[in-house]
Amino acid sequence: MRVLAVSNLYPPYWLGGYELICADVTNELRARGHDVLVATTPSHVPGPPDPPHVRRCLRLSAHVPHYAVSADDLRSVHASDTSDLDNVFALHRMLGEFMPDVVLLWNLHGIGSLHLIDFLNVHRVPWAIYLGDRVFEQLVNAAPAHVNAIFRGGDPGYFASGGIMAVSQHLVDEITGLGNFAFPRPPTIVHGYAATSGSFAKRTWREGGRTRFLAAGRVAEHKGIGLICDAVSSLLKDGIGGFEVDIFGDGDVAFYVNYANSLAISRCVTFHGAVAKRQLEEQYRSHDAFLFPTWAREPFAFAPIEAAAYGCVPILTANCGCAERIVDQVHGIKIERSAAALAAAMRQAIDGTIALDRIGAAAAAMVRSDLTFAGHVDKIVGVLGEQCRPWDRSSIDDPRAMLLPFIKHHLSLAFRTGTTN
Amino acid sequence: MGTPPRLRVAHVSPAYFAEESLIGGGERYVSNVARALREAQASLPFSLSQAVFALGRKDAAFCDGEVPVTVFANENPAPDVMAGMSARLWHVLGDFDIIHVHQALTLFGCYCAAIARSLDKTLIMTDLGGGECRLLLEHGGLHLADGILSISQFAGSLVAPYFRGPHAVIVGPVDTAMFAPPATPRRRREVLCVGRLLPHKGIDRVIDALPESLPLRIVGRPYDKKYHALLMRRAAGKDVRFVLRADDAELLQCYHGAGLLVHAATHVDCYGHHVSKPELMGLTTLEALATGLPVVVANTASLPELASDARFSRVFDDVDDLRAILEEFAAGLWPDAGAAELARRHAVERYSFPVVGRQIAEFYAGVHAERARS
Repeated sequence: MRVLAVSNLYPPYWLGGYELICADVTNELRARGHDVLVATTPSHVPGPPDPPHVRRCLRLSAHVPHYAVSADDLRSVHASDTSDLDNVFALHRMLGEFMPDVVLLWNLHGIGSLHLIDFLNVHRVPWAIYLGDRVFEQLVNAAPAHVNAIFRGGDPGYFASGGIMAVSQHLVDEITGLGNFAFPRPPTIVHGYAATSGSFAKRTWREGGRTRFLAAGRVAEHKGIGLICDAVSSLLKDGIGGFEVDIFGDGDVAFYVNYANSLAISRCVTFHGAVAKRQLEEQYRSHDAFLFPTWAREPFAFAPIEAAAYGCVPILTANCGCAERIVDQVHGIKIERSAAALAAAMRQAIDGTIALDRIGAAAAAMVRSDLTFAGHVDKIVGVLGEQCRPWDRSSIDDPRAMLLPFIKHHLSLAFRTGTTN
Repeated sequence: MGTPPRLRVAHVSPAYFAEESLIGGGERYVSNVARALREAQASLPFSLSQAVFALGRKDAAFCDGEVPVTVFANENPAPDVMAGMSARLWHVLGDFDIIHVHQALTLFGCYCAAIARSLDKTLIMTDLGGGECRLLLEHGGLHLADGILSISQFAGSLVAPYFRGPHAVIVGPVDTAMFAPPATPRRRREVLCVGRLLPHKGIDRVIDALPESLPLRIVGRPYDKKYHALLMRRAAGKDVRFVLRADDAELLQCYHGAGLLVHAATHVDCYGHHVSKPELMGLTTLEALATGLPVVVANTASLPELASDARFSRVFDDVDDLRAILEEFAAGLWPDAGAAELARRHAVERYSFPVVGRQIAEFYAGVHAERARS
C-alpha cells in the first residue's frame, strides 16, 4: 500500500504517545514493505536529518504547551482546528505527487483539521484516522456550527467515509459523551501496545524487602505527579518506610522538585528527567509497581502497559483509557484518582498485601500476548486495507481543485468574524 | 422508445417572495422561474423536476404553483439576510442534478456554490442583486459555477469579466397570464410607479417631473422610512397617492387603472449616494407591458433594454426629459392608439413563462451536458 500519513508532530519533537506511535507505525509499515510518506510540521528539537519519507511541509498554528494561541486571535484559532489554507494546498500537492492508496490521519490539532478531512472527502480520497485523542470532538467544537457547516463539520455522517480507529473504548465514550459528535459507526478499537525487546525475563519483586515505585511520562499535574507526592507524604507521616519512588520524564520538573522539598519527601522521591526508551525498560525490570494516578481523560497511555510487559505492576486510575485492558487485582491495581487511594494501594504493595509477583507475571503475560506492537499494526493495516479503493486522480488535477478550498477558507473566516463581503 | 432524460433542478435563494421574508423583484424572480420552467415542461425533450429552497426566520414548507418550496431557518447569527446559511442544504441538495443559486453574489451564494461544487453538482449562478461578494468576483469564486444566467445584458456585463464559461442572458420571465390586460378600458391619465420605496428607485424624480394635470399612484412597500417621508413632502400639493400594502390582486388593479408606468431607477439617488446595480432587470416594467401598459423607463442599468419599441416604450435621461415625455402623454401625443396591444404582444412573445421557461431549461440542459462531457 501507498500510505500518506498526516500528523501535526513527528519526532524528534514530540509531546506524548500520539506522535511516537505515528513514528513507530510508520517505520513498521515501511519495514513490512508498504510505501509510506509522512506529511508533518517542522521540528525545533535537534535530531538527525529527516529521512526522505518525512516531509515537513505543514504549518502548526497551535498545540505546543504553554504557547497556545489566544482565544481572541480568531485567525490562528481558525487555522488550528478549522481551516489552514496553506496546509490544504500542501495536502493537495502531496496527493498529486505521491498518489497514495490511502491517507492515514493522526493528530490533526493545530493544522486545520476540519478542512483537511473535507478536502479528502470532496475528492473522494480514501482515508482513515487513528484517534489517540479527542480529535473529532475538537474539530467539531472548534468553531461555531455555522462556520463548521462550510466543511460539513456538524454532520457525523460526513466522516463515515473514513476508517476510524481509536485507542480505547474509553476515548470513544468520552467523545460521544461530550454530545457534539456521534460516530457514524463503531470505530475499530486498536488498544495500545508494548514494544518489548526480548522475552519476559524472570525477575523478583520487593527485593530486599524494599518496594520500588516508578512513574514515567510527562511530569505534569494531569498525570498525577502531585498526587504521587501527596501520597508519599501521607505514607511517611504514617511512619511507612521501606520504599522509594523514581520519576522519569520531562515537564514541570522544577516545580515538582520544589513541591517534594516542601513536603520533605525528597529522600524517597527522585526526579530523573527523561531517559531513553531502552533505559526505561531497564527501570521497569527493577521496579515493582508503576504509579499512574492520571486524569480520567487519558485516552490510553502506553507507559503503564510497557511497564506491565516487564512485570512492573500498574497502579492506575480506574477509569482511564488503558485501564480497560487491565483486570483489577489480576493485571494491575485500579484506584480512584486521589492521593488517599493511591497511598492506600502503595501501602498494600509495601506491606505485601498485594501479591505483586502474581499480578506482575500475569500482567506481563497479558501484554506480551494481547498488546503486541505487531498485533497493533496488523489491526491498522486491516483498516487501511478496507479503505483502499481506486480514486480519480483527475479530481485533484482539475484546474479548479484549489479554488474551492480557497473559497471555503475565506468564507469560513467571513462567517467567523462576521464580515459581510 | 427510451425514457427521456430527467433533470432535477434545485433553486436556492436567501429569501422568498412573502411578507414575512422580502417583497422584491429578486424574490419574485425565483418564483417566476420555477413556474416558467413548469409551464415550459411540455415543450421540452427532457423531463424536469424542481424544488425551491430558501432561508427565513423559521422553518416553513408550501407550494408555489405546484413547485415545492422549503424554507430553512437561517443559522447564521449575523443580521445580514444575504449572509444566511443552513447546514441542511447539504442534505437536500444532494438529490438534484443542477443547483441554481439566486442572489448569487452574496455570502449566501458563496456558501451554496461551495456546497454545489463539493457535491459535484452542476452549478448555475444568477446575480439578482443583494451584494457584490469579493470572493466570487475579485477572487475568482465565480469560476466554481458551470454556467451563469444573467437576467439582462446589463447584469451580464457586470459578471462577464469574472467568468469565462457558458453565460446566457435571458430577460424575464413575467407571468403574462396573471398580468393580463384589463377587461374594461383604462383610466388613461394616471401615471403609475411600482417598486419598493427605496432611494435608488428614483420615485422622487417622477414626483418632481409630474405635470400638474396628471395624477400619480405609487405602489410599494416603504422599506426606507426616511425616503418615504421625503416622497410625502415632495408630493405635497400634487395629485399623488401611495399604496403601501398592495397584494398581487391590488397591484393588478393598479396596472389596469393606469395609463402609463414610469420606472425611474437611478445610479445616483436623491441623497447623492451612488448605486452600482439599481436595476438588474426591472420586473415591474415587464408586468406593466404584459397588461398592455405603455412604459417610460430611465436610462439606467438594464431598463433601456426593456424599451426597445418607441410605440409603447420610452427612455428618459433626466427629470426634464421625463417631464417632457409626461407632458406629451398628458396632451395625448404619445402613445398612439394600439400601443396596449403591441405592448402585450411584445411581452407574451418575449418574456412569458413558456418562452423564457424553455430558454432557461435549454440553458440548464446545455450546461449540464457540457459539464458531463468535460
